[in-house]
Amino acid sequence: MKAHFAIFKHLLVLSSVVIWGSLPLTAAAEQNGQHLPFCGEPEFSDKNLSEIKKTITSSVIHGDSIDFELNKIIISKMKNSSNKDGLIAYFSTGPYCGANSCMALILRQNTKSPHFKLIGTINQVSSPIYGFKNKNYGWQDLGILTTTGQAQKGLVRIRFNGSKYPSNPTMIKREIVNPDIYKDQILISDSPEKLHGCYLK
Amino acid sequence: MLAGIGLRETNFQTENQIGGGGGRGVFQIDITKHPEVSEAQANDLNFAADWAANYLAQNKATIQQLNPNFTGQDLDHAVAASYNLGPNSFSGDPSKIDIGSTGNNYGGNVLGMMPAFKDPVTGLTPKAGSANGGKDGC
Repeated sequence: MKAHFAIFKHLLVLSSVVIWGSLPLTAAAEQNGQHLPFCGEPEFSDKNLSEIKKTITSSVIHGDSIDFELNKIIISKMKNSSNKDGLIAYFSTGPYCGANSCMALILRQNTKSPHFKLIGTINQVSSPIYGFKNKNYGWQDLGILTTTGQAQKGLVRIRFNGSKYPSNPTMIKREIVNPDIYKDQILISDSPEKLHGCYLK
Repeated sequence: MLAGIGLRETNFQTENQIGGGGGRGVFQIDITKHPEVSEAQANDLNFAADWAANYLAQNKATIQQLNPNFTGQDLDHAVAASYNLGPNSFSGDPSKIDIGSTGNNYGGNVLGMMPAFKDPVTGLTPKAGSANGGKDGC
């Protein structure tokens, strides 16, 4: 039974590779000419990156099957107040994405250790993700580009409420009509014209 | 289901997502998340409908494997929602299938639209093909 389960799990991962691994990271980079760098020193130590991956794996549904190369997770440090070290991890493709939006996680770094803690899951996220100058409880307001729903198309500002960010931006009234005004406040983008963030490998 | 998704996404209008997002065409296929699809293909209704159908079929297989407790109705609901959320987003609790989707109601909304595309007498979907619960040449 256990052996069958192991084979099944292997097949599941393999099918994910076939379905979702349209291009490995390196091939995607070569195809576009311009690409995000892999995360590393000096911004992220190997220990940091390992802890980030561990936190992501334990935070999402079916996280034990995450393939970090295939999901092309982009991370970026947030510009919060001091002692509020946070980052966004955005699944840019793969099985945590629908046809046009994906999931992002907000992680907080423990000030006294290299460990990270999940403080929010945000659905319906699409690149680019904006990090506004305005803060609530020391955490940046975020701008999320909503994708579907006629009434909600556009950029939505989400605010930290002291413990978390709202998990579904499509349930929040749109405040910002023209995202181009905030093009200098992008935290994450995988568009070749404006790259922000780095790939977690 | 495809018809319901086309309505839900764009009301069957071809449009690009504003603000730099990659959603294209009636089915709002994000060409950055799905680089195997070109902009022209995403805007081509025939291609996009075929792509969406294949995408849903792949999602169905994954959801079924990850959530063996789902009934047939739960599975249909989750497959519809997966167009919006992706196939790995379901915890196995049928009451939470739409949580996190657009308006927190994507899958249920699409399922609710499906009867409108069925023949009221036969209950079959015209031109969907017998393999898809429909009938050909109607």
